[in-house]
Amino acid sequence: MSNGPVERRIRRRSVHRSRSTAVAVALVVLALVAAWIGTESVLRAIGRPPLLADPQTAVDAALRPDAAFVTIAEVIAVVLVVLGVVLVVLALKPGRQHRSVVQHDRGAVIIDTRIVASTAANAAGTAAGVPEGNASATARGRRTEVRVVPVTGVPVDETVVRDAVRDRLSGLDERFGQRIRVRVEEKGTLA
Amino acid sequence: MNAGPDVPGRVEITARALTSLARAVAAERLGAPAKRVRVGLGDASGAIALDVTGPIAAGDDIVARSTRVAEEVKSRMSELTGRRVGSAHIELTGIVRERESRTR
Repeated sequence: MSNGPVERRIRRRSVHRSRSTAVAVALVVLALVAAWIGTESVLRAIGRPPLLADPQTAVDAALRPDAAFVTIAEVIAVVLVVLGVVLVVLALKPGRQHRSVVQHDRGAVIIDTRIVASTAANAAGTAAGVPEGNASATARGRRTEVRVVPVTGVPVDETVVRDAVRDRLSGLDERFGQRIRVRVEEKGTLA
Repeated sequence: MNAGPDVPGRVEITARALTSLARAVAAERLGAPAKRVRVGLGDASGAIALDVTGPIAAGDDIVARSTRVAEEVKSRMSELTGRRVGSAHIELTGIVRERESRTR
């Protein structure tokens, strides 16, 4: 795998989701709130009526709460907590897309996990001798799960299917073939 | 079913073909005309489950004979299709006399 900084950057950008949308939205909201506070302060300083609420009255109401204000404050607090949790989760989660990096000598090679999954399903179907629609697979990260519906009366050997899938996936990249789970359904289809 | 490692592609037997085959085999073993034999195919935990409904040729000890017929149908089906046959359920609906079956 070429490890030039450009390739590494491209790989990282392709596999991980960008956080710029969340950052942009958060910053716009922050800028709006700051602008509002600034506007209200200026309006009060020059003795004009406030746009929404006078900051002084808002603070006074917050310090001497009545019933209506408490409910409003609670609702706002809940909304802010939810927003904060969402932002923290967005910031801390790896934000992986459904793509994987493939080792290659030149350039950055990214592969969609759907391709891995359908490759696995195809290999499993061929190994088990079932029609195309009877084998399905899901791939997530390096884990691949294969589900085979056998043809009635033809037993399917799980280990054979697993080996075939491992062989085929190793052709893509050796890491894909490491964690494979094969599930053979008990009930088969006639044809 | 794979034709073999050297031949690409796959041989598939449709459910209809299996049903007709089972019907013919069952009719042959029961000694009844295929027209009067009905066969249903199912799946019993990965093996074929046969459900035969039809008359049996007249003779003594029909119960023992039908048990043998069930076994024979199972093994013959398995032999012809190369698949595992799990169970054969036979439901007799009548008796076919020798004379009757000869009339075409």
